[in-house]
Amino acid sequence: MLHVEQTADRCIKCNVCNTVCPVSAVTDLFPGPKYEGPQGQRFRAGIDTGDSPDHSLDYCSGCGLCTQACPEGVMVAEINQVARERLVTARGGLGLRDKLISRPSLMGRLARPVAPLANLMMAARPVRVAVEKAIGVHRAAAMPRFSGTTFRSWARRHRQRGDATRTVAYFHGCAVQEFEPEMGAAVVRVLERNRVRVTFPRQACCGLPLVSNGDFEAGRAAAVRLVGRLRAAADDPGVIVANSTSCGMTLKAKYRELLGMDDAATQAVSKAVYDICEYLLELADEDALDRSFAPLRAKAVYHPPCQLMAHGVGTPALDLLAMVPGLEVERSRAGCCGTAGTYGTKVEKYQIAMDVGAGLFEQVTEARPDFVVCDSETCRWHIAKATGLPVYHPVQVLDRAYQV
Amino acid sequence: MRADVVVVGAGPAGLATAVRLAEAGRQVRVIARGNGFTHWGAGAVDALGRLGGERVERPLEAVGRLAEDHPYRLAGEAALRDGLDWFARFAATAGLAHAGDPERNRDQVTALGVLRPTCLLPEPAAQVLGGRVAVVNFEGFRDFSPALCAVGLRGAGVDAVPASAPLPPWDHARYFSAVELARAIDDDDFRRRLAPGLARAAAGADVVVVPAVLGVRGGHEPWADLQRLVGTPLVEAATAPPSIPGLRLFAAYRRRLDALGVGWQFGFPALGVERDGDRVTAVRSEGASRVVVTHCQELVLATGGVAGHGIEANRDGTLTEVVAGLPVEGFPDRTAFLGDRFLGEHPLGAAGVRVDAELRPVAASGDPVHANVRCVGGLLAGHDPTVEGSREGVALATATRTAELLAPTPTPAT
Repeated sequence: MLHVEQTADRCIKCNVCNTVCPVSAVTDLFPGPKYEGPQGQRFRAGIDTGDSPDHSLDYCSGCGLCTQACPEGVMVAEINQVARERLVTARGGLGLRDKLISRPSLMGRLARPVAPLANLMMAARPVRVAVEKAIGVHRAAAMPRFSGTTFRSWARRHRQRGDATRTVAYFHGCAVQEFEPEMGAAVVRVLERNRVRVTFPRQACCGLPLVSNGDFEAGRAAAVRLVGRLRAAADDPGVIVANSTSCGMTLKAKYRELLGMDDAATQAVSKAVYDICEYLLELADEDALDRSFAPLRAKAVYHPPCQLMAHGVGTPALDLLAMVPGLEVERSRAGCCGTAGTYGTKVEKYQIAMDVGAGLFEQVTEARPDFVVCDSETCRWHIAKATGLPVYHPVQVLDRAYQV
Repeated sequence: MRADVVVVGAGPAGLATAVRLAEAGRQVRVIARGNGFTHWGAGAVDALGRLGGERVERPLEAVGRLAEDHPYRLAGEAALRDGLDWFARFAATAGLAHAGDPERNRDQVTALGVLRPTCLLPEPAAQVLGGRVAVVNFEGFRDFSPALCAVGLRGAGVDAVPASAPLPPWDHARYFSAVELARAIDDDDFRRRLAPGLARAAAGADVVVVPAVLGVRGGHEPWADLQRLVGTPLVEAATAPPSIPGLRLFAAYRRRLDALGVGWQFGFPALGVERDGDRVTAVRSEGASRVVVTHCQELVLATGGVAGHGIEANRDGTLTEVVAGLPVEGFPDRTAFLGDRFLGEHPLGAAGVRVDAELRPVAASGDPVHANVRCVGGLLAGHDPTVEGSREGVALATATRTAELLAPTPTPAT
């Protein structure tokens, strides 16, 4: 396998990547993936010593649409991610803001004992203005709600059903653990409904926010820790499901591509990871999915996150949602909602994230759905904030259709 | 994963085949290594532009003179005619009306001022050049030289003069490509500010040639609107990639696929197939960490020739079909791949998979290799889409034939 930087040599300068970049479409601060990626790559000799003139690099949101569009196999977004790490290192590491937003579980843990108060405070405009001025998190950016209880405390109390015919390990990640325990409960209910027993191996942050912000060293430490904790589950039960498309993508591919982790343990864990909808659709393919969904008379817009498309499995959620009678689903035409993880929370990038998402928000406004469906948590928060509509994970919709 | 029909490839042939099959009632999934030829082409529908080194004026009539193994002869003239008709309806419904018919070729203006023969032209490129022609570039756009285009046109007997129109102030002052300019021109207000300068540059002209950048988000409305504002017919000239007319078409195809419920995945190439006897049962494609297996009843390969990566050229002169390992006739050694002139004819360009009358790949014996695999578009042997100017026509004719062959059997009314 080629190192991501070597794939730059495959570039034939066709500009296809520039036609899909959602960031360069809305701002002159980022010149586009071709210029920044395979072309800029040749001029990065001075990047380690801080001599690179390449400051626009930081405006790449890392959505990865360029890599998916490239017909020649250039890993455009990954080239930029690797270069960003060198830029960040040359600058002496991440600033305070990026250090904080790269550690969602730390923030969640700190706020947990005072979650209602923390949520009140984060909803208060003067507080958000102060936070923006102090560390540079945009005052209007969508923030998750802190949870007073964790997912794991729910899981400990949860009684397994006795009729399981197979078992999976569940990688719930930081978002379910700290912010959306009800999302994790829906995953467990839907799996158990299909006679799948769920185990909860000890876990931790996958490190993606650190990697995408450019701190590969801390990201690698998180990755090594998580691989160590999930290694046994990769053998038994052999399947690890994840409902966060970005964490799932990181476990599947980014440890290898960006952090250069190619050891046997990482490979075993990577190969065992399934996106939850990918797994449920495989059950359906084996006729092992309970299709007795109750009708949901509703209209939804489904937005497949950019990071889901980096799994290479298409849009399994669309096939699953099509099994719910009465549910009308319109597919989003947008490649990216704009927020791309932590990108859209930054004061200097918030407006870009909103402009990138404008097409999606417009489509939602025109379609007038009852709700929006999206697999990735940061996208859900961003879309909910921008459209004022409830935004659910596809599994939450299935869970509802099972319960009606 | 599972689908009735898996289509591999998202160029003109793959997209048309996927849509036509879905319209016929099959459940379809598209897998592609990336975006395809729509982004690189001239943005018109070529049927047959050149034959035996001569320009073709009447493509349908010329089809009869093609060799028997040419895709048009295999798919049939009716499939070509039907494919072009279908495309014209599809494009018009998407707001991308085309002009022309397969009875006679038309001229498409290119950035080099060449009048290339083509069959169907998007309306913004369809106006025939006559009288005094102004070739106008938008200031700062580097992919179009009005002088070069005008010199070419004069050589072709057109009374053309170069000119330049200023751009109103906008967000992409530092650097821009055709995409940024086309997106700006999508905006009503930007067009209002652009029109007066363009009208001044075009003063006294009967027709104005501009680079093909007049809007990219939707249909041809920005072109029609700007033409109204300027008061002179505007003709879009084909430019270097990315092709804006191709992007409009690609977006229209994607919208249609979404509306028909066709799932697609780009960025991950198909790697191989699984077989049971003479049938392919699944396609294996790259995934983020594992090979992704998509089970299917039928497989359509629309992966293109060597340039599209459907066929790989090996150092020893042999050729490999990359997905199913289908037989491809190679060369004694690799020096035989290419001709002498860069823009001339290259034997490698005509390399492809031989198929029977039902577009199934055949072995040297002439017998089908697989009962449920069809090949469409540039992957097919027996033609060189670039040299003969037949890419989109072959794509549409073979897509049409495939949709006929794979249409679900109608269930008798009870």
